[in-house]
Amino acid sequence: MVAMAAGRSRDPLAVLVSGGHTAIAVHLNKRWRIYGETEDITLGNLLDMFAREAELPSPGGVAVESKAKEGQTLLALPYTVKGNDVAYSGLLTAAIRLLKEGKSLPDICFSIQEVSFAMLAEAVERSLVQTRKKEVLLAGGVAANKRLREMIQLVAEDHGATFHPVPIEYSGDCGAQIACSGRLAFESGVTVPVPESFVNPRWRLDEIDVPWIPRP
Amino acid sequence: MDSSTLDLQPLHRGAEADLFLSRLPPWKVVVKRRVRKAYRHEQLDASIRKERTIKEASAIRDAKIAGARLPSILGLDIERSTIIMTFIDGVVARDTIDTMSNARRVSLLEELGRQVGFLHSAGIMHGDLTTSNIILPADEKPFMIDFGMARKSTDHEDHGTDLHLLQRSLIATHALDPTSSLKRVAKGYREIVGEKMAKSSLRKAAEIARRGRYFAIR
Repeated sequence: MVAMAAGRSRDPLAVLVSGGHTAIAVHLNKRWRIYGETEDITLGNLLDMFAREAELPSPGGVAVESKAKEGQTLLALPYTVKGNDVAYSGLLTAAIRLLKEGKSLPDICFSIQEVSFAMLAEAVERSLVQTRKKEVLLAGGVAANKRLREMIQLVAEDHGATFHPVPIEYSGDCGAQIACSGRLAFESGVTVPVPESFVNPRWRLDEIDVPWIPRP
Repeated sequence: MDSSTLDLQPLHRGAEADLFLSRLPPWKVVVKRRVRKAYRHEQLDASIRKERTIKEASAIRDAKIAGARLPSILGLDIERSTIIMTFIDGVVARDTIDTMSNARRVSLLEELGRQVGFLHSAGIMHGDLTTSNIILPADEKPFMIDFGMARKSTDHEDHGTDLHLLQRSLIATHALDPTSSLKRVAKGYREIVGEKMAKSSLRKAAEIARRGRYFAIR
């Protein structure tokens, strides 16, 4: 919701890319419906785990992006798209192997970005053709990546949709976001008694009623 | 073959490929061309398009050999990631299944089950099996089209996915009773793949449906 307001979007194909999510969703009948997602690790995980392995500074995504700028050569990495879903764990393993083989770190970073982002862009393109949405929203920590933005924008424009990247300051982990969701839930009459409340970091987006999003 | 000299009439624009109508006397043909994606690194793009064109063509060939009804390949232009195949003149099942008589629908569902059975017994997964990808010519014997997502697989999960996708498209866009339509598809399927394999695939299909998230796609 914060992302929709900040990205100035009303009825988007929402692309969420972070450490917790890699998902393509649309809003329908009070819920977000997942059109496509990662079958294993998220895009944020991929970048962070590779960065850690390469001893790059945290946050990993930013470090990989800056190294990738010096990369020139595209190295072979597995490209796995199944329908609207993607899978990144094989790519991570292969990238770590290239690192151990002593391949150039900038080239590996460049190749990770090119391959993993293109996979997501393809899944987004398929979902866009199926849903015929006219807006593409890009949100989550990885949405700060310039190359990813460029790719998703190209996909959106190629299919006559407008591109709505969420401004960086609203893109990352953010307490205000959670608080805002809580307030909207409360105002819509969705409440949880304190004794029954608990922390659930693995809450699926499509298992939550979100009646407060206006019908397009 | 060189597809660049063919006269192309636009037919459909998909996510991955453009379809055109053309003539390759005496045949009326469909030209399927995987187009360059601007977002993809040029080298990556070229290798993906080439690989998928070859994969699709071999899935079509294998399915043909297994006895399934689908377009025939008339030419391959790997350089332009293009497949040239016979044009199937008919109606899309999605648009007609609601209005056909009950008896004809029953025989269609059984025949669809048999067609999927031919694919699976040859170790091929269609990957995008919906009523939009089934063409009914005048004699109403269904043709399966669009093998763009097809791949080699003997995994029950993949076979279950095909059956589930077909089932979902039957009930999502058509006013069909889920239980009886599944029974008809299952009957035809069982005839081709046999009791044992049918049981595993159908069980997987039901399991996938229960996982629920696939239903969210509607």
